[in-house]
Amino acid sequence: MVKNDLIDRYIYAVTKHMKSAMKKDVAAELETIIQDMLEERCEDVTPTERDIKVVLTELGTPNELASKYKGETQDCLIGQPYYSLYVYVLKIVTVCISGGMLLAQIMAALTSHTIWYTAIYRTIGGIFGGILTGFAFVTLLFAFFYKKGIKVDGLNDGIDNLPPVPQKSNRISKADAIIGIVFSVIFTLVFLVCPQILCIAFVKNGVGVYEPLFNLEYIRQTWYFILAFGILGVTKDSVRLIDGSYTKRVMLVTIITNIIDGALTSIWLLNDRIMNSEFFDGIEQLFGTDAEVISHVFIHFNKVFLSIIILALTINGIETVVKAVKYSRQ
Amino acid sequence: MNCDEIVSGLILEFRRGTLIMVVLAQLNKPMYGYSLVKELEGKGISIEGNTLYPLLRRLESQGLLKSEWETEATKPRKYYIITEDGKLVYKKIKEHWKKFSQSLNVLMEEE
Repeated sequence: MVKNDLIDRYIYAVTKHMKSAMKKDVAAELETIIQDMLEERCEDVTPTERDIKVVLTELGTPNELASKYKGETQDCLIGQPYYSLYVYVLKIVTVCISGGMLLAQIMAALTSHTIWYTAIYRTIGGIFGGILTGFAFVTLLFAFFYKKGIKVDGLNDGIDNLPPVPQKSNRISKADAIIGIVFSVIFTLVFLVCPQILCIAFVKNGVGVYEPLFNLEYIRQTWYFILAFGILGVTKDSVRLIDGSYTKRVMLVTIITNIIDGALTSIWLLNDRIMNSEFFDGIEQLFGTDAEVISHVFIHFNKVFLSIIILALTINGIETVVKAVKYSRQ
Repeated sequence: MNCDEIVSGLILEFRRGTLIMVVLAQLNKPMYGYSLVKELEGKGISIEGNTLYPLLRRLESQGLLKSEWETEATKPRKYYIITEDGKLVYKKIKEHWKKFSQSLNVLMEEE
């Protein structure tokens, strides 16, 4: 048996997006086929790198072969290897939107004393609208990946450009990427539908009052910022899910999305109108003599919040660059 | 009009259409993917491996073939063989093919 890194890379590239049971079987079968082809070509002589390249070229590019295993043609909006992931991400986004929207609408109804039938109407409308938006966004995103992928394949799918089989430390786990997508969807929903749930509750003149932390008018007016944060997050984690390792593409997308994210967050959070001034009256009502100290903490909440986000984006960016550089050297 | 391009496209379509029949015809005895490629090559039918191997799996998932890993030899190999359903399908398409090719021959004789 000829053990060769190029063969391992080729098999990895073909089977990368297959389901685990099929992946193992196809990999084993492909390994034997390649060995048989090499044996026939070289007989008793040890195959050279060139022989291996000839045999792999005969089998076709990894994406071509992977598409044939899936029985797909390229005359479609989203084909393999993107289709399986598209369905996967669509399921996650749909479940997140349905669950998140239901929760968000319940919270919104509870904090704004809405009549029950209006609340039900809004919830159903919100879920349908949300699912439709999510579906459209994920479909467009993956259609773009697929079309772009065809172009990239033409340039980079040759036997000489096969990515190395990632070591465990260079792999991006599916769970991490999924958690990222779930977080982005939930964040977007909370801020778009019920930003008032980030509030303090107290009793004023015998009536329960909810005073939101953020200025709701400002949050609603800047809905496009919130949507942009969601889109950036889902895009970044979808690319991570597709590549499954710290590739150059993951590095590039992470850097670009993190920079845009950081810039937009700064503009959004540093606006004077973001904090709700009445929130501090609420703190006074609630905490009495201790209110001054607590108000002091919350008065800079937007800056603290921004610092945490920038720090998280920077750590994420550096970690991705370091791992991608390590992976490219592998 | 690019005649050669159209002809090669049509030939490709012929081959695609008859490939399943060809594979089913050969798998009365267990064979592994590469041996099937060689066997067919010897009989004047050349099939690219990257078309055949995925096809074998697809026919297996349709229940027309079954497979088994042979691990006792020096190299583990996956052997495919036709199933009862596969034999039935093959019998039917073979009959259809014979009738169709007879009609086609008559049609072409008329020219």
